[in-house]
Amino acid sequence: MTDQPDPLRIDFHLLDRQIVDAAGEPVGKVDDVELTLNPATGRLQVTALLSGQQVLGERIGGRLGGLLAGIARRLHPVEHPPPLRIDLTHVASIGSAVTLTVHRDALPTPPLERWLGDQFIGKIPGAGHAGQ
Amino acid sequence: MRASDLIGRPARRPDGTVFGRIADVLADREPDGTWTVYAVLVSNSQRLRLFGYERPEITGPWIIARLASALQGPLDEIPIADIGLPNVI
Repeated sequence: MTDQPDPLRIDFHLLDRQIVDAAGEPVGKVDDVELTLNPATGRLQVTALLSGQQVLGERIGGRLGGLLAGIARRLHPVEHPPPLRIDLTHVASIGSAVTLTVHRDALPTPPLERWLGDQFIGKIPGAGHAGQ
Repeated sequence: MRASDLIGRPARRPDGTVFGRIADVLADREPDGTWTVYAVLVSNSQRLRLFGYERPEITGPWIIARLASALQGPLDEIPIADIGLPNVI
């Protein structure tokens, strides 16, 4: 990363921030952050950003969180869908938004966005010719 | 393990006693570019979302900083080694 706060405060600097790709296109929000115990050092490392409605629901907890996570599971073709995981090595900078070094096409499509595309957007006449 | 397994959860000493709630997790950048968690911010306040005025580089406007401090209450920076981590790793 070329531009980042030091120290990094996970809640203040990362959670709920917009994620944008290298071209400035929105990718999602930082709904949670993955921490991994390094077996060599025995210390916790910040390893990835997690994004998606199910991750957000699990973070919020309670009835509302359960509802969010349940809807996300329902919309996804896989029973236990993995979250959108963005390795921290793909983060270029952390500011008012988190900017990635990669384009959003290289990342999996969030389940809600895919479902909306399949059920509604894709059925609009001319939706397949968006580039024209 | 996720950050949400720590943030907002009771801060426990390794012996299990609770001494506040975890308001934020602090990480330092290592020379190899990785980020290592070194401490947590612990608060006794019910309001756990921080305003940002607790950061030493933020000095004003003083009246908002005072208000934020009054609402937030004191924060303690506790080394991560002194925290009993949840059994989710």
